Amino acid sequence: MLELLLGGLGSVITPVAILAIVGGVVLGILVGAMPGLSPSMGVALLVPFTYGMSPLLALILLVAIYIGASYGGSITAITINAPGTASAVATALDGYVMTTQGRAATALGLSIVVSSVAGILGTIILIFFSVPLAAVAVGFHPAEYFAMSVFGLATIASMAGENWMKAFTAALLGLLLNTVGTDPISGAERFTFDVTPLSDGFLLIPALIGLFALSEVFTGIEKRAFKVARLDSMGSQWPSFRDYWRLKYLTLRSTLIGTLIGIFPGAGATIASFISYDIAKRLSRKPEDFGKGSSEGVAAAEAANSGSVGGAMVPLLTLGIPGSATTAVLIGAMMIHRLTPGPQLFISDPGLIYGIFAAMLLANLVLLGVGLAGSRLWIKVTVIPKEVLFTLVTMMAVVGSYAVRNSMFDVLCCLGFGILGWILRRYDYPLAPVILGMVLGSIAETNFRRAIMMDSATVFFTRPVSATMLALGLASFILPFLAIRRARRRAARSDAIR
Amino acid sequence: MRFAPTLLALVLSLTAAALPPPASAAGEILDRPLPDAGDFPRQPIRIIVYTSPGGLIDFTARRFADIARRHAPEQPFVVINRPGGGGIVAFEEVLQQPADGYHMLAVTRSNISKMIATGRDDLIDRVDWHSYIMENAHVIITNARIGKQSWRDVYEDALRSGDRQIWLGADIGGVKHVSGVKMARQAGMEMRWIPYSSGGEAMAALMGGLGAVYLGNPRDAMISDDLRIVAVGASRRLPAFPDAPTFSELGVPGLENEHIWRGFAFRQGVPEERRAWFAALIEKVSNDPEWIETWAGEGVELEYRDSERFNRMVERDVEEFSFYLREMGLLREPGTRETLLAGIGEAPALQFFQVLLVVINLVLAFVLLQSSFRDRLGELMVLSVVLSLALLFFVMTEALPPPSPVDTVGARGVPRLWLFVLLPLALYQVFLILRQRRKGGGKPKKKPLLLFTSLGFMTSYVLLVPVLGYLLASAIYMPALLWLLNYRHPVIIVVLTGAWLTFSYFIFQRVLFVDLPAGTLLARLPFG
Repeated sequence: MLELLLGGLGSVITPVAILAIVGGVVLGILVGAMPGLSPSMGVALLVPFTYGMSPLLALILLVAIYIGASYGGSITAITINAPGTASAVATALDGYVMTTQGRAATALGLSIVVSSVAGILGTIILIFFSVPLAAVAVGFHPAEYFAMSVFGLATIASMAGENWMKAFTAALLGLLLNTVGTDPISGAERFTFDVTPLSDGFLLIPALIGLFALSEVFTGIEKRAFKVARLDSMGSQWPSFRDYWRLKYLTLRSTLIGTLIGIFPGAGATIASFISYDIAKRLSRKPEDFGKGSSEGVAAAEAANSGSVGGAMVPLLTLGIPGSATTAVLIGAMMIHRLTPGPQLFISDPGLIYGIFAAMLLANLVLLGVGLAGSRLWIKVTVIPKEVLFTLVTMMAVVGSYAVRNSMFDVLCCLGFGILGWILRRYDYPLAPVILGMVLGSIAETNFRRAIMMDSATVFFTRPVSATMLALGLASFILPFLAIRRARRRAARSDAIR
Repeated sequence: MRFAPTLLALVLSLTAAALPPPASAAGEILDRPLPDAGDFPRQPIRIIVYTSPGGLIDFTARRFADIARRHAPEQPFVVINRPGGGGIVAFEEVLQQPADGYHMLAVTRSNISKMIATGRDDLIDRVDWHSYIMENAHVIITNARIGKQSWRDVYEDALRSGDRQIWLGADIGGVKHVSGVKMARQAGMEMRWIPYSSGGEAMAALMGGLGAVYLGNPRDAMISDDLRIVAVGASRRLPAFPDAPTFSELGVPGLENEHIWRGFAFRQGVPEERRAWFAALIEKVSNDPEWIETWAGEGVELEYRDSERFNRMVERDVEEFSFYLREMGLLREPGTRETLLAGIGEAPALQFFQVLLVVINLVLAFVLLQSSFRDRLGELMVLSVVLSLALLFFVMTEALPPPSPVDTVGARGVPRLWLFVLLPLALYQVFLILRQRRKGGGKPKKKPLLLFTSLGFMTSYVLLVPVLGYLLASAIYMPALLWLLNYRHPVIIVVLTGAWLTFSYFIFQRVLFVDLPAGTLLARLPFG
């Protein structure tokens, strides 16, 4: 295997391949950072440009874009609270708070270094364990997918703390909004009010831009928060090696979570980042800092997000099955280059497979270099006069949500979600649970119904993995309440003593 | 005389080289210039695909675009994905565009079944089914690792399992589901159809041993040695999979034409010379050696069929799907719901209910403003709107198809589950607020006038974009908002606006082929 990997490295250490990796990573970062453009759109847009390339070079370029775009979403999440992708929402929870505290450099530095390290670790897991992991992924019963989504939803309990009622209301709102559109199983239209574009439901990207970016603008205008932080006070706060080293176990654990959840087709980076964030909070010595600018929170979310790229490549390369929207486009690109992804490709063209592995390792190193250099540039976003920034964000929101499917309806939806987000913020409802509900809603529903169609309602408890995950979900739901109760009692007791 | 055969061969080959090659039909088509269509095309031609990037129809469209570019080098072909509603979103988008031939739909047989199943068969009549380009048979694929090596294994397992044998595939009421039902019926067995959102996910489930068979396309079986095509829904064996028997060979009649086709369609009314231009182009691509090579070994049958033949096929498919979907109980018959709530769930009673909820909320807001809960108005109104929305959705679930033997939870099950949790949770929060005595002394929040004005600006902008066009509307809105936010640097405002407009035009319109709205007003002007 090592020989093959070295052979792969040899085939990617050529001027053209390195140029493709650097170009792909830069382009990917820009795509990911632009609200409205997703990693899958970025890869799809570049596919026609690869027709004249060799299959390996084409895949190197596309994989580099995927890696760049998966990270790019965190830049706008941290700097302007506009996560470019749903998986960057968990990053925004602490990343943007850090920016408002004048610690944007710390958040940006952490996100890029942790992303690259997690990307490399995820690729190593892909290289050495892809075959056994793929076997686990395909054997996952719908009941287990449902249990995993319940586990994901249960993270809201610990995310919300004392504010749990509002957090659950927000999540239920997200789950309910997710049911608008064509029913994924029967094909019946639900709650569409005869509006054709709603037959596909509320699209995630306009919702994401509206809920986070626009609501931030509206809140800023309401509070007339036009004061700009001074760049020189932020410049000195780049994390040191010691800061990164302190987070080594957390990064490793979160990468593992990201890669493992990434292997399940359809589950992906969003669940991974939230579960990883939740576990990091539970195991942290300072759980109270989460949501208030915790560097651990940023690292946990980013490591899982980047780790999931390696995970999503497992079913693609070993079985020819897409693990995410972007890997579905990669399958299309492979078909265009007359390649049939799957186990046979390992036998017929190992040079290509190990070339991709080597390119992934190299792309993460390039990401580190480009990202660190770029962070010096991204941080300048925070010193743009707020009036200008707010205006630019609304312009980006309009064109970004329109670009998803050339529809002004999506722009109106984005505006609607912006107003909804502003109202929810105004009355202390957290926004992340709405997105979590919208993302997990369809996974939970389709797998719940599929599981019952395959077996019966008892299947959730008779399958050990599903039963265990549901129990874990229940525990993760109840434990924060017990902790709150205990804290209240303790506070009451200390008040009584005083 | 041992050299005689060599000499003969040499003479024959020299003669052959001297003579012009026999003109094949394909060669003739490829050499023929495209018919004159005036100044068409003057701009990029959009191929609208109804799925997300990555599916087989997306691949077909992209490969087509690539090869078509060479035969019509004047303008690029751009593939645009418009997923949603099994094709409804894509069809609607093309139908909203002018009938000028710049928006082409990549279509499949699946669109027909989906439109009928969802009651949108009007869309079938509103498009021009222009060119049929290929089809592939539906095949039954098994996983040899779980002991199903042949159709006999599948059949015997079905007899043992009763109605519990699981067939994996795509959505309910889709073209593959209909084929699956026909196959099981003709074979005299029962099965449970488990729908997955994509073929890839269903394949993963098959490889994980979660189902007995997967009904899909022949190329799906190529990804692993464990996968076997055990039955083919065609009249003869597929050249790319010569070992796979047809249903007729297996003694199951009436399944010689189970397939999915792919082709292109336009909005009705595209000028005849442009239709002829496309017909010639599509025929050229269909005969292009690279196109043929692309599909070699994939179990796909390539054949160009013109609009007339294609329309006849579509008509037959409409009849067939209407019949089977009705038989399967998947066509909604009018007048089958009798409950009071179902009555409300239908328009116009539903519209009345919506108006009623709005009025109740307005009255409530007015009452709260006069009450001692004035400082909690916002919180209470948020909960009131959430409760109203929940009630509205609950009533609307009555109009959804009820659970069926195939889908025992049904389309209404899960939304109701969320509503049953949301309603008491929101009510409890209202109760908590009402229980708290008014604290008093708290400063009422300032009225966010600047925000409301900005929101007014933004809403007007969004509404004006389709009328004035993106560029003009943005050129007005951007400086106006900056000025409103008290940013008084005219030069920077002008530079910033110019820079944004240039950036968005070049990046979105020119690089990403996002059709930024041109504006209906400008189009009506003489120079528009």
